[in-house]
Parts: sequence; C-alpha cells; structure tokens
Amino acid sequence: MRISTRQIQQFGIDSILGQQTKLSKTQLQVATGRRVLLPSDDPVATTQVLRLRQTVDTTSQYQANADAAANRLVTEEGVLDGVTTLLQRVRELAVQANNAVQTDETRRYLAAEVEQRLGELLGLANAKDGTGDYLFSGTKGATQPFAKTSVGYRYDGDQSQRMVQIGAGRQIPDGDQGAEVFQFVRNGNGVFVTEANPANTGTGIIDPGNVVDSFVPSLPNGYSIQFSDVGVPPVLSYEVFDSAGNPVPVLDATGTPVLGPIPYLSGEPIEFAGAKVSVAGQPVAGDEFTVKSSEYQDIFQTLENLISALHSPATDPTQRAHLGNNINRTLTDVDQAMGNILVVRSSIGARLNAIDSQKYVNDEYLLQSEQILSSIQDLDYAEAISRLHLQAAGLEASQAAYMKVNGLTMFNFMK
Amino acid sequence: MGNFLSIGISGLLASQTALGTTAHNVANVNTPGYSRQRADLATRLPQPTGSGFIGNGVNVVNVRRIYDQFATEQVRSHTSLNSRLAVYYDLASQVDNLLADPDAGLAPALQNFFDASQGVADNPSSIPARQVFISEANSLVERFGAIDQRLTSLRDSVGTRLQDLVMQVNSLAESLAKVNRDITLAGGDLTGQPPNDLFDRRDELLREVSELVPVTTLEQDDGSINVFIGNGQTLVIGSDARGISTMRNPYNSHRLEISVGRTGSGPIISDFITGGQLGGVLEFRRDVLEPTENSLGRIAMGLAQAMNEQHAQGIDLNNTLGKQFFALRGLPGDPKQALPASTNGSTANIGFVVTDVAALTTSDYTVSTPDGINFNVTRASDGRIVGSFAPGGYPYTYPAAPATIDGLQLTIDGPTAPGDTFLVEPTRSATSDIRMLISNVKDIAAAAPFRGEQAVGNLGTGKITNPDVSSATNLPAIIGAAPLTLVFDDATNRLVVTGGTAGVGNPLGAGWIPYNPATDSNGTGFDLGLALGIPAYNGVTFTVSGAPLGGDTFTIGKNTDASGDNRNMLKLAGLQDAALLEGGTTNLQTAFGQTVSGVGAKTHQLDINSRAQQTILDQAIQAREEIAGVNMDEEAANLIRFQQSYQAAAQVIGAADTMFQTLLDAVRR
Repeated sequence: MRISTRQIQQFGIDSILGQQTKLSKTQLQVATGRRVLLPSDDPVATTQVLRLRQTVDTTSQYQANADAAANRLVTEEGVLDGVTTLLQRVRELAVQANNAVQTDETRRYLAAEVEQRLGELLGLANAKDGTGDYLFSGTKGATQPFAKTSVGYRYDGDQSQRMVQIGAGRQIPDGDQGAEVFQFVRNGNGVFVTEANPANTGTGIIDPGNVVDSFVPSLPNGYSIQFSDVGVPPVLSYEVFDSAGNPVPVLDATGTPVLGPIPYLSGEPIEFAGAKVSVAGQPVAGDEFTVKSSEYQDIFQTLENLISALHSPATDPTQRAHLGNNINRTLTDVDQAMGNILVVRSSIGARLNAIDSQKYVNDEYLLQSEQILSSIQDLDYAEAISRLHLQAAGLEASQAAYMKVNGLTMFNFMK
Repeated sequence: MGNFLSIGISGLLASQTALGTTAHNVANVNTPGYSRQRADLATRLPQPTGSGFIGNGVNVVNVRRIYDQFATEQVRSHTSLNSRLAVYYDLASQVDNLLADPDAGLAPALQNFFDASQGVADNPSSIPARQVFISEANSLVERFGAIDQRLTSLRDSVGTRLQDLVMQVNSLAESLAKVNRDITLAGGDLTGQPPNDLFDRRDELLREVSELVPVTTLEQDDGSINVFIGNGQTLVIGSDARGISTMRNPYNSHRLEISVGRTGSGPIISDFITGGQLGGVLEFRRDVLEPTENSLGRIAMGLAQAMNEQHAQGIDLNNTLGKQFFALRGLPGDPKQALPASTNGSTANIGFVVTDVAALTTSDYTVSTPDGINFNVTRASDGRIVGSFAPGGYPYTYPAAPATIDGLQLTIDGPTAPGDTFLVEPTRSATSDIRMLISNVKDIAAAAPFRGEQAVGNLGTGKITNPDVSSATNLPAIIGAAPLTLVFDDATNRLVVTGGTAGVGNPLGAGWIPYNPATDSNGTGFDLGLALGIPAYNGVTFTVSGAPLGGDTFTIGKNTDASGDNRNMLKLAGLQDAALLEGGTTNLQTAFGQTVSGVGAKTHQLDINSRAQQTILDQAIQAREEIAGVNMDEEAANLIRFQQSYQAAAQVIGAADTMFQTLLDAVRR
C-alpha cells in the first residue's frame, strides 16, 4: 500500500482533533457535573429528566399547599377550642342558674356574663385567618360571616368549602364554612325538641326525652301533650294529639298502644311515635307540652334564649317551672352545639393527620424522584476523571506521534 | 559517433523532463485534487543496419497523471453525503441546544405557570398570589416567544445559507464551464497528450460542487463534461453554466426554494436535492425545524384552548364569567387564514379554526381543487387525503360543526378556480401568535359559577353540593338568571324547582326533580338541564343527599362574592396533568418532552451517521490518495534516480566529445 505524504499528515491531525473533541466533552461534563448535556447525548434520559423535574416541582408545590392548608386548619382549631371552652362555661352558668338558691338578681349577674360570652362567641365566629380572610365565611373570604339582626343572627358567607391539592389526586378542605359550624345545629336532643307552653300554670317540667324508635315527626306544629281532669273525682290525665289535632296512641308499660286520656304520674315515661319523654312536677289541667321535630338553631340564638330565660322573673313555683323548662332546653341545645363543634374539630384533626401522612408520602416521593433524577443526569465523577486522564494521555501520545512521523523524510539525508 | 551523441542528448532531455515532472509533483504536494504525474519513457525507433538494429536513445512518450476514475467518483459521492450530514447535524444540534437548556426551555416556564396557579388555588383572595399567576402566565407567553425567536433566527439563517450556497454553486458552475472550454481548446484527450492539470482542476471543482450539492456527470467526445443536479436538471453543459437560483415558495414568500436556471422562475427542485450542504439545509428545514415549530405550536394551541375553555367556566372577582385568557389566532372565534398558492386563479381563501385540540396533529395540510368544484384535503405528514368535499355555495364550512377533520374546521370564503391550492399550517406560528389577555388580577376567574345551599329553616337532613359545570357554552345565558329554588315535596318525593328568569330556560315553574329520601339519601347526582328538560342548564350537575322533610328548601344561584372560592382554579391547575393532546393521551409537559427527545434522537442519530460517513469518506480519500497522492520519499528517490541518469547521459556526451577529440588529434598529425 502506498501512502501519500498528505495522508500521513492528515492522519496525525485528524487523530489529534478527535482526541481534543472527546477531551473537551469530558471536560464540560466534569465542569457541569452532568452526564447528559444535550438531549442528543441520551434522548431517553432527557425525557425522563423532564418528567422527573416536573414530578419534583409539582410535589414541592403540593408540600407548600399542604403547609398552607395545615396553617389554616390549625388556626381554625384554635378558634374552635375557644368556642368549646366558651360553651362549657355557658353550660356551667346555666346549671348554676337552675339552682334554687339563685334569686332574680343573681340570675341577672349570670345573664350579664352570658351576654359577654355571646359577644365573645360572635367575635370568634367572625375570626380571620393569617391572610386577613374570614375563617368561617365559606369561600366569601372578604365577607363578614355573622351579623346580628332584629330577627336573629344572619349568615352572610356561603356554604362552600375550599379544597386544596396536597398530592396527586388528593384534595382536602382547608376549612369549614360558618353555617356548618355555628348554624346547622339541631336543637333539642337532635331529633325532636320538647317545650312547655309558656301559658302553663302548673309546675310540670318536661325532660328533653329520647328516641326509642324512629321518630315520626308531625308537621308542621309537632305533637302536643295536653293535660285535663277526667272523671269524678277528677283525675289529672294527659292525652297526645298530632299537629292536625288527632289523638295519637301512647304505649303503656306493656308496650300496648292506648288511645284516650291516661292518668298522669309524675316522672312516668310517655312514649309515642318513637319518642319517649317524661313530665315531672305538678301540671294542672289545661297545661300543654309540645314535642316537635328538631330544627336548626344557631349557637348565638341558643345563648340569646338562655339570656332571656335568665332575665325572666322566677319567684313563684310556676315561674320556676318555666325557668327549669327553659334551662333544660338550653342545656340540651348547648350540648348539641358542643357536639357539633366536636364533630368539626375531630374532622379538622383527621384532616391534619391526613396532611401529615400525605406530606410524608410526598417527601418520600420527592426523595425517590430526586435520587432517580440524580442517577440519570448526574456525572459519575470517579469514572469521568479517570476518563479525562486517559483522554489527555491519548492526546499527548497523538501529538508526540505526529511530531515523530512528520520529521521523517528522505530529503533530510540529501545534502 | 553522431548517433552516439544524439543518444546522449536524448537521455539528457528525457532525464530533464522526468526531473521536471518530479519537481512538479514535489511542488504540488499540497495542491488539493492534484494527481501525481509520471513521464512515460520509450526507446526511439532503432536504426536497422547490417549488423542488426542499433538503439537510437530514449524518447518521452507523454506525461500522464496517475489516477483512478472510480476512486475519484467515490470521493465525490461520499463528499456529498458527508457534507449533507455535517451541515444537517450542525443545524439540528442548534435546535437540540435550544431545547436542552434547563432554564430557557419550555418545561420550567410551564411548571412555574402551573405552580403559580396552585398558589392562587391555595389562597384565591390573595392579590399577590394572583399577581404572581399573571406574571408567570406572561413569562410563559414570553418563553414561547423567545423559543419562537430562536427558531425564527434559525429559519432566517437557513434562508441566508441557501442563498450563499446557491451563489457558491453558481460560481463553481462558472469555473467548471471555463475549465471545460480550456480542456476542449487543449484538444481534450484526443491528441493522446492529456492536459493533466486541467483534468485535475476540473475533478477538484466537481468535488467542491459535490460538497454543496450532489452531481452526476456525463463526459463528451470533445473532453468536456456535462454536470447534472437533482433528478437530471442541467447545471453545466459544455462551456455553458446554467446554474440554479432561489425562489419564493408559492404559498409562503418567506420560505425559499431552489429552482433550475438563474431566473428564479424555473421548476422547483428542492425536494430532489438529497445531498450536499444544500440537501442538508433543506432536509433540516423540512424534518427538524418545521416539525419542531409545529409541535411547539401545538403545545401553545393546547394550552391556550384548554385555559380559555376552563377559565370561561369560572367567576372572577368582579362577579363576571371568566374572560378569554389567551388570544391565539386559529382558536374558535378567531380564524386563521390559509396560505393560497401564488399561482391561484381566484382570490378565494380558506379560514380555519382548531375546534378539537386533542385531534390536532403536527402536520400541515394542502387543500386543492382540480376543477374548482371538488376539494381534497391532503395531510402532508403521510400524503393521505383526509377529507373531500364539494361546496355548493359560498361561504362553505367543512366539515359542518361539530365534526372536524384532525380537529380542524375549514371555511372557504368564495368561489375558486380550477387548480387552486391552499396550504393550511394549523400550528406553525402559534408560539409567536399566543398573547396574554388578562392583565388585571381581578379578572382571574378562580371561583366556580354556581353555589348550592340549604335553607337555615330546613327540618330534614337533606344536603346539596355546589353545582359543577363542565362547559362554558351555556354559562353566559344562565349566569344572570335569578337563583333556582328547590323545595322538597314529601307527598310526591319531588324537588320542585321554581325561580330562574323568564326567557332563560322558561318555563321553570313546572320543573321538578324526583328525589326519594328512602333510596337516594346516600347521594344522587343530577344534571339540572337533563332533569328539567331545559337545555340551557345542561351540564350543571349537583348531588342531593340525606333525608329532607317536606318544605325543606335548597337554592342554586350565582356564586357571587366568593373571593375565597378556588374550585375553578383547581381545575385550571389540573390542566397540567390533563391529557389534552394526541387524542387525549398526552399532557403538555409530555408533549414538550416528546419534542425534545424527538430532536435529541434525530441529532444523536445524525451524529453517529455523520461520524460513520466521515470514516467512509476518509477511506475513499485514502483509496484515491493511495493511487494519485504524492509521496515525498518516492519523489526524493526519483529525484536521485533521474539526477543520476542525467549525469550519466552527460557523461555519454563527454565520452562522445573525448572520442571526437581523439579522432581530431589523429587527423591533425
């Protein structure tokens, strides 16, 4: 094989240029710390890197979302803790007021405290979160949720809950709307509510009762337990009528439905339509108690009811009976309110737990993604440095070879 | 004696010629395309005598180049292939570089945009969060623009490069024509005394032109050659350089094509040029640059369409429905014009809108009519006819809504002439066209349009969810309507619907929705429009659960003042993972990833091919050099050889002189 002089030179130069290209590539890899510099270096890895970066960024955003949601929930939990303490105090005051040693005057002192508590409760319900939005106005963040009007308390928020994305496909409410917390509280025992007719002249006191079977409401006015004197000598008896004025059978001790007047015995259970109530004390003929379906009664109204009950005079036994009935009613209503707050608080707790565990999952995912990302795009320095040395040595060898070969020519010997 | 002298002289002259040839070789060792030459020596005709033929010395028959036609043509054709790949690789890696940049690519801008949307979802009433969202949306639009600018500058440089290359090809063609003439004048190969250096020069010119564009040659009897490019178009014929020129694409005056002849009006041969730098540049434009622009454009299209659609389903801080978020020519309501061919016989044009982004491809389309009556729509990517139609009158929309072909709807605005063609580029310029329309933070529609509520006086446990909407189509008509009231009637187990506004879904008074608390209390979903038979409310869905009692009331009304509502924002943020493209299989980020890896894979493949081709070219050059290349050591040896024969021939003349003197001396005595 012939080799032309130009070839010999070209070979040498090509070899040096090739070595330099490789060296510079390795140098760039070492300088950036990245194995994949261009998509063409490894198209598959590039797509993976793009996808993983998105995963990492999105998951970090979920973590930020989760933190924001947790902050808001903790704030809400703090407020609701205050509400619970407040309601407990109100309950104590109500129990205290029912004590026979209280006079009209001391009850007014108690009423004054309840009024203070009511103001405090309104403040709590209108509390704001860290960003200046009302906590309990649903999604109408800029609207004050609760206001007192001449006919009670008005809710101006909406009934929406804001969902926050805390993981892929995982959304969680970052608060509770005020209507759910303060307004949608069933009064009475939650199913029905017992009331004494304010015109009663006896001293009968009705208990909140309980549900023995599925309660059949009688709309719209509920059942009425009417007392009358029956027979000679007159025996105080009672009879139950529904909303339309039709008599309702009452179950006797053996469970047999009985229609018509039943002799009254203080404290004896009266069971009808799935409800079981009892009247204690001494009602008189013409007295009436009603048992009707529970309604929503906001917590403010419950406190208002207590205040007005405490302000009404209770000097004679009839008035005392009225007070007793009203306070009994308030106690059940406060219990319902506390139960409702408790439900919301336990839901907050559950959500905080969920956020915690989701954050843990996110962290794990983040860590894994970052590890994979690093394994795909980051440079193995040990390998790269040894490659760098090898390529530098190769380049030196090429240069030396070039100098050596190109020095060889016969013209050197032609003198 | 005289013979003796003349033999010596012939040796002297032959050695001189051989030495001259060697010197020529040494001098041209670095001349590109040079083939080494040899002086061919032969004995002169011998002199017949009685004692036999007596030699008459030496003669130089000719000086020829040592050369192999096949090896030279191999170098030429591999040069074409190699320079095509080198240029193609060079240009493709610029796109590769552009897309790779982790900070300048589209991926981070998209990510930031959706992160900012999550920020608004976290805290919808926060003005700073909304401001960040708008800024990130603007950055995203700017990023689209920046990428488009870099692609446009690449497109411009493709144009400049084509013009440069055409000029170079033409100048080489001139040189070839001139060398052809010189060779013909020198008598070509006919005399048996070839003009070696002219042949070498022509071969080198052919190699140089092969770098730019692949050529085929045909040798003529007079020694000249004709040069052809493309699929047989003449570049040089004898001493006449026909040349090539750039001309404007008939559809798009910014796109340069290659045509035959110098006038810029000859037939277009761009698609036939498959090698050389010219081929590489054209191929890059066709297979990398334009597809990249198209697929990035489709991402912009998908983003704009989905954002607009979803944003219109929300309510902003002004309590109005969300406005258009992005403006982009080609979205419904803003038709984009097709490019009519410059040769069209009519002034008709086609407007088109993308009505279904999921069905949209990254291909361009040609609409053509052979007779002005029937039309065919051809997809460029696979050359298939995807639709045919014959409009009876104009304007004519094809296909009629809601059907589309590949997500497109075309409207021809007037009568056409036979042979008219139109080019539809659905996604080409979307990256530069996309604009942000929202600038006021209050215009971000983060809230959902309706809210569902239960009345405070309700006795039962019935609950209603916030109504959801799935389309913005009916919203403008019903958003202003008075709230609907749903009252539960326990006798008939119905939710009786009243309210609303006359004219909007009238008559509402008669409407009711069946709801049986005994069976439905775990939650039953309703579509308001379907349940009531009022199409305007179609797509408004909600769930009722629990056991309402008679007279219990629920309301569905406009979600006014819900500054803290993020329901629509969550849906907007959800678009990041929504499979908007490729028939609902690919989300925006994935589509970008595919574009990047597509270009990456192409560049990678070109890199490998280009290196392999370089090796093949090196081998071809080596094969040619083996035969035709100058080796200095060989020439040094020849120098010594011919020097010695020259000296010896001189000695012969000296000997003749001595003999002559001897003779003269003998006579003088």
